[in-house]
Parts: sequence; C-alpha cells; structure tokens
Amino acid sequence: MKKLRFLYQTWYTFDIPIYDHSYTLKIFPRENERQYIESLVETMSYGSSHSYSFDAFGNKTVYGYMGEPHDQFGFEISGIAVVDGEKKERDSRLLSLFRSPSSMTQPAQVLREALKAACDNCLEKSCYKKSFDKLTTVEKVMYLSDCCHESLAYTPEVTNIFTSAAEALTLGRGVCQDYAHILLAFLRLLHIPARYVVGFMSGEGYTHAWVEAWCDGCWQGVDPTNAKLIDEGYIKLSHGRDYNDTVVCKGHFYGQAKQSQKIRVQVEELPG
Amino acid sequence: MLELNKHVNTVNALLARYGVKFGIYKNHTFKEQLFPFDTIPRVITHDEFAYLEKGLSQRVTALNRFLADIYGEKRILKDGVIPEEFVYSSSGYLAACEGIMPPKGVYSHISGIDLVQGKDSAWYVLEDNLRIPSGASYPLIARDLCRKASPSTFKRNHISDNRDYAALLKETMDSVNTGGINVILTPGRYNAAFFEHSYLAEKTGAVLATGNDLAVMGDYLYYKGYGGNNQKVGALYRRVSDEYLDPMTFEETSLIGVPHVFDVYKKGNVALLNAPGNGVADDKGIYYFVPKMVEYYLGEEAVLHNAPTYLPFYEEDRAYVMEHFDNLVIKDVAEAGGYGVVFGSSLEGEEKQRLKDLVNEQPRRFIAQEVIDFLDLEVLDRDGVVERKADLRAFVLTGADQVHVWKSGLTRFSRIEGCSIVNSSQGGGFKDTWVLSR
Repeated sequence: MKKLRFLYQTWYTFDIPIYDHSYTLKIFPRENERQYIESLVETMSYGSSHSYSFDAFGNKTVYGYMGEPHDQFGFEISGIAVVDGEKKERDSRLLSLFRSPSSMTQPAQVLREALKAACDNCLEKSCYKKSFDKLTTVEKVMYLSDCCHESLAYTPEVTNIFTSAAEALTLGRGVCQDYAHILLAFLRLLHIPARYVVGFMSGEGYTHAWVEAWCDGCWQGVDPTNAKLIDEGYIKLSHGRDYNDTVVCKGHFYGQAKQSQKIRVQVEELPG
Repeated sequence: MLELNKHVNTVNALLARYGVKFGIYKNHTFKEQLFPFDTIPRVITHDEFAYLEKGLSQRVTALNRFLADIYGEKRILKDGVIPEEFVYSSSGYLAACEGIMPPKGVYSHISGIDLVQGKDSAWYVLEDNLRIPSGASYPLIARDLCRKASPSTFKRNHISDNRDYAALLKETMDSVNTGGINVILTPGRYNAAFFEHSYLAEKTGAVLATGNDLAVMGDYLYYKGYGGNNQKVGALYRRVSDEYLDPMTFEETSLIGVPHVFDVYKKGNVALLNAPGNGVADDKGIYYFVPKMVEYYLGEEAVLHNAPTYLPFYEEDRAYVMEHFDNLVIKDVAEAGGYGVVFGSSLEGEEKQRLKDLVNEQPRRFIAQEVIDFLDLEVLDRDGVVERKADLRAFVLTGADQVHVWKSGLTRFSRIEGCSIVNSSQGGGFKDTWVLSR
C-alpha cells in the first residue's frame, strides 16, 4: 500500500476576453477497490453557476457557466490517495460495451494484420515460450502490451487528440494516448473487454493514459507506453471507451481568442 | 370529396401562405420548396384502423421497453435475442445514455411509424422513427383548411376529428414534465420542419425557443426571459437531433444546442422529448428484430408485420441476398430520407457487382427487403386522376400513463408514376388521412 500526495493544476489564458463560456471537467480521482482518496481540495474559477454530475462511466464531473467576459480560467486539485496494488476493481457493468470497437479504436486492416503477426510470433517472441492461445488472459494482455510498446517510437507532437489507433500504428510514432488506443483495439479484436484510463503516474509532469483489461473477473491495469503492469504509483482519474470519454477539460465559449495552457502535475510518495 | 377537389388550388395557396414548406439544404445551398397537397384523402375504415391502432401501440410499447432495457439491464442481449454488435455498432446508440431512466420511463414520446399497404391489402411496417419524426402538422393544418373550404364534406362523412393532435401532444408533455414550462426547441427558421415547430408551439401553448434562448444554471434548465426573468423548463420537446443537442456531451461544434442540458436531464430535472439515444431502436438493422422484441417483452405475437427483410450479417441471409439480388431493395442503414435505397434490379454489370462486394465486405451496413407491391392511391394530377404509390406515417404518442394512436396520419405519395420513394425530401406530395369514425 502506498500513500501518494498529488497536485494537478491547469491554467488557461486567453489573449482577448471570452464570454458565454460553458465547461465540463473530469478531474476527480475515482474511488474504488484499489484506490481510496483520503483528502481532496478543489480550487477553481467556477463562474456564475456550477454543479456536479457523473457521466455514463461513473466519472465525476464538475460543470458550469461563466457568462461574463474573462481572460483566465483554471483549476487546481490536490489531495492524498491511498493505493493498494493487491486489490482490483471488479465492476462488471458495461462489459459488452468495452468489448466493442469505439470511434478511435476501429478495427482497421493495419490493426488486424499487426495483431495477427503478434499472435503468430508469440511462441518465439514472448517470454512465456508458449503459443498465444495457450496464454492466460493476463499473459495475453501483457504480451500484447509489449508488442504495442514496440510498435511505436515514443514521439511527442506527431499525433494529436484526433489520431485513431490505426493512424498511430501506421505512423509508428506517438504518445501514451496512442499506445493505449492500439492496445485497446487489439484486445477488443480478441473480444477482451478493455477500457481507456486517464490518471497520474509518479514522476510524470503531465496526465498519463493507460489501459485496463478484464481478466478473469477483475480489471487489470497495464501501461503499454512503459511496457509494464500498473503499480501503486498510478492514480486513476477516469475511464471510458477511448480518449473521447475521458477528456479532462472541455469548454465551449464565444470570442476569437488565442488560448495558452499551463499544466502542472506532481505526485510524491508519503512515508507510510 | 368531389367538392373538395374544386378547392385544391385555394388550399395549396393557403398552405404556401402559412409557410407549409420544406427547406432542403443540399450541396451548400438552401432551397425551400412547397409540399404539394392533394385533396383526395386516404380513407381508412373504422375496423381497419382499430387493427392498426392495436398493432401500433403494441409496437411502440415494445420499442420503449427495448430502449429502457438497452440503456439499463440489457436482458435482450444477454438472452441472445439480438446480437450485441447490432446495438453497439449502431450510430444511434449513445453510451452517454447508459444508466439513465428518463422521467416517467418514457423514451419515445412521439413515434412516427411508416407503413405501406400492399396490393394484397395487408399492411407492412417499413420503418420506425423514434428520434424526432416530423409531419404531424401537415395533415393537421390541411384538415383545418379543407374544413373551411368545404364544411359540408365533413358534415356528410363520419371522419374522426384529427384536430386533437395538439391536445394530445400537450398532454404528453405535461405528463412527463418535471416542473416548469413546456418548450419546443427549434434549430431555427432554416430547418426543413420549421413550419411544424412554430405551428405546434402555437397550438400547444409551448414556448418556441432556439438554443440561445435557453441556459442551464446549476441543476436546472431555464428559458431566458426579459430582464433576467428566467423561467424553469420542465419539458423540452427538442426538434434538434441528438448529436447537436448538447455540445458539452455530443458534437462539440454545435451552436444550435444547449450546453449542459444533458447533465440536468440526467439528474431528472427536465424531460427531453424524445429521449436522447432513441436512434438505436429505429436503426434499419434493429428494425429486423422489432417483431422479436414484441414477443420478448410483451409475450405476444406482433400484430403488425415487417416487410420481409434479410440481414446480410447472417450468412444464410447473405447467400439469399446474393442469389435474389434483382428482386430485392438494398438499404444502407446509415442513410435516411430516401437516400441510400437501391433496387437491385436497377443496377447493371459493374455497378451491381460493386454494391454486392460492398454488402459482402460490410454486411452490418445493409439490409435487404422484398419489394412490396404497394397499393396505388388516386392522386389528382394536372390531367385528372392518376394512380401513385403512397405510404402512411402514423403517429403514436406515449405519455406517462397511456399510449395513444392519433386518428389520422401523414400520407405521402410519389409524384412520379411507378416510383415508390415517397419522401418529401425527394419531391413527393402529401394527403390528409381520414379515419372513419364508424
């Protein structure tokens, strides 16, 4: 068990004032079997009205409206999370949905071929020295995560939030979001329910994305960007079918402003 | 009836004056065209309508149960009655609606069911429209004008009065209203059905609003009045499609929706008519399963039949479709308004092969139906009475406690001889539908 102190700040600056601004934020760490939130402080520019809600996947959101002109918008969330790596989430709601392709993980030919090659080469390539169909579900997930890790060269700013799994794989480069989408597409082609996860990871200055796969009655987190299973250094914010379901900050405003964004993420381990 | 025919030009001139038009936005240009009215009504006998009424309320009840199941327990998928890929690959399925129970449990408040009558005089359902079916206002205003043109026609014949539509619609809105005013949300005057939006608002006493007139504040939706005098909205009959309804949950670029309206709907603080996510039930692929839904949820045999349909998704059906291609009509499930409908026999050589290949490659995208020989209806043409193909859109209103089939409907006909695509967006005309009261 680990105790992690986290801090997450995002600040937007607009060069001219914007108005009629609606926003939705998914910034609250989830509470589940593996993760307990001991304390939480939320600071933000709420505007004239705001409220809380939950999306279809159970992610908590805060939404609101700022009618008056303003040139800044931001939020900060901080607190302490207790993560227990021994425990797993067992929520089996929507499994059939997580087994189906989503808009960013459509099963294009390039994904089918890559998956077939990975399965065919399993006996010689994997550390298990077994053919793919002999692996347990967790082993399959780990092996495919490794394959996915090898299929991309980590490169920031060559892909964007609209890049699909197939596009990233064709390009051969990308960031955590792209690794996660490719692994999701692989798992769903094999009818293994899998979901996209956004959260923090100790030592990273940004939010991170990884995958959870349904293995024998519980969700196993796996990080294809770093080719490892998730450990007690990961704090989960939200999950969904793909990136689109977990957008941290969504806004809608009037005004032809140029915006700039500053993000700060800090995660540090506290002595038990 | 003959008396009425003398007034055909007057009635059409009045319809044009009232703005009964159809706006079509195609290839970046907006064109408004009249929706030609034919004074010869479609007549449905009392007994025949009783049969339709029974079948239609049964069908809509089952469809509502299906929607509650899909966004809830998903029993019908677990029991293997419908393959899950049909649901999750449907563009009308909205994951955002998972776990939401709309006010009073009603999903499809206003349902438009398209039927045709075959030459064997049997009725077949061609399509269910559970999102925002339009068209009720056309027979409504046409009846009103016809009554003025020839009052004696309506005295002599025993015709059910269809002017109760507005009252039924208001009752439906009131019955699911969560506390507040009734509002009709329109995308604006360039929408194809703007006439209908304004007409129904006027007739039901609901406020006609565009997205900018509404705002979510905290946990409720408000109609923005003058000087900050905001009124809470309890029922929103939105004539904006799901994807544009709320830019914060659906299409981000939408300027015709209301930000966060979905959040307050989810909290049970406003009723949306019809509920978002209904598209999963009127998907052309799901259509095939509707008679099975009736059996599954209601334990009854479906009164109304589908047109004989094949799903290339099933191998056996695919083989049949390939073999009998020329006798079938192939429909792309993603298209609407009469687009994406191809008669197998109308294609030649390479073109035919291309469509066959496409069906083989993407079987989930298509359905194939036997071509039904529609019963022709008489239409008054410039040269006299001619026979044309027609369909019937019946309207079923579902409120908190009752399902009501409107004793009228929109009869659309093709103005081209032999053509069976009757959609108004394809240049068709319409008729009043008389349901005899005895």
